Amino acid sequence: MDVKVINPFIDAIMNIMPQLGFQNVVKGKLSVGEQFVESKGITVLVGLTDQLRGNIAYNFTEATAMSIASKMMMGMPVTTLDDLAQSAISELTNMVTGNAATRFEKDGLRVDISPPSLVVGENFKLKVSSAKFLVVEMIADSLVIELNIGIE
Amino acid sequence: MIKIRVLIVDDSPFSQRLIKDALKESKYEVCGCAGTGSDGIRQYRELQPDLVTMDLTLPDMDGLECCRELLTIDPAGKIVVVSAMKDEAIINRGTAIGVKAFFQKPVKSEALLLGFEQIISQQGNEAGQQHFLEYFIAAFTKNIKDMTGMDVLSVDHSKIQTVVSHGLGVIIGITGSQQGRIMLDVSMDVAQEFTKKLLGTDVVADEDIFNSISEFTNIIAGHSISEINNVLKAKEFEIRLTPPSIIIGESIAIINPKMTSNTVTAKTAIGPLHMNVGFVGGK
Repeated sequence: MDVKVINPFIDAIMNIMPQLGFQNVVKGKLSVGEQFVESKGITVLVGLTDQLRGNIAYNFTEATAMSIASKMMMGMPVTTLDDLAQSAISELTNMVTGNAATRFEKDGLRVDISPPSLVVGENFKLKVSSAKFLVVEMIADSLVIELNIGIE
Repeated sequence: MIKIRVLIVDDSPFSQRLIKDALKESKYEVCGCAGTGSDGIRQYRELQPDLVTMDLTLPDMDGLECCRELLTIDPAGKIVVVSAMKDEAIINRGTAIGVKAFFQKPVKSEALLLGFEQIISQQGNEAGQQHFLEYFIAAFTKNIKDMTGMDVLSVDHSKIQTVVSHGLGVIIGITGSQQGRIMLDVSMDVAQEFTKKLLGTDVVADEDIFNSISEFTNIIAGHSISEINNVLKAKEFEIRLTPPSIIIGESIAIINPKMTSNTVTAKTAIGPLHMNVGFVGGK
């Protein structure tokens, strides 16, 4: 897998997060993962198909997911990950993946994305359709979003 | 004919008038007009309209703030923004809150009617999608028998919002003219026994289980979607699948906020297999 595939995702986060009210968005650690993505508590899966096939797992702690949802809903307090907060987090990953797909298309790669599946629970892990995957941390106002990108 | 009732929230009487005119002689009727956000919320509670048009600049609050309050009262509310401003940031923030569509003033009658039609028809679309479920059930039961030789003792299905996993879940995304996902969900014990049947061996490693259950799901999804694509015919209605991902863990909730799904449980000699299929509104 070419490490360049992460750039459209990084650019998408850099572009979308400020629109949702985040001030300072930076790239954190980059690494390669093998076999399993260990969930931090909330993991959102989005599938890619057409000229690029694979899965993205967006990984958040519950506290981070709630803080992001609160910011997206203009500061409304979020104390549990209720329907509205779930919908906001799921929309965020949809927007980011959609924005990244548009960037791939500009580079001549057609990409179609699936609706997000929000996976919530304790102690679970995931496999993202490729044995090795790229892990990049994005930090928005000190909140960490971990992207696990597995492309076939 | 029963009319579809629309509440207009806009502080400009001129804009209220334009929207009313745009909906004239259609199946929509304007059931109320509010000039402030708080009046909009009050009228929403009282009138329970089918659709709301929302301006973004209201004298007492931000229009998106008002949308959020309405959706807190009624998460199934159908709100469209009609505003002088329409840029990417507004669309992204609004979509995040749950706004269905965005229109720029002065709004054209055809555009508004078409947009409303799409929002309303998303509900009607469910009937077609319910029909798709039959193809998934057929592929599910046929492949259990064909690939393992086991009989399916009974098949149940129920409509649900949130799936709670039994141990091993395989998710495959559905995209193209219909958007959704299929998930196969089994306990680790059933996964192990099922893999033994699939491979015809007595000893299986975890890796064999992950690969086999994931490929089994891929086959069911592939068969179902091929059948549906044959029915839909035209290339522009084609449905495609994304590669499988696997979730390992018990009592894990799998949530797709915009989706109502059906879980189909097939009982076999080695235990139950659960297949969940859900769609969101078509494109």
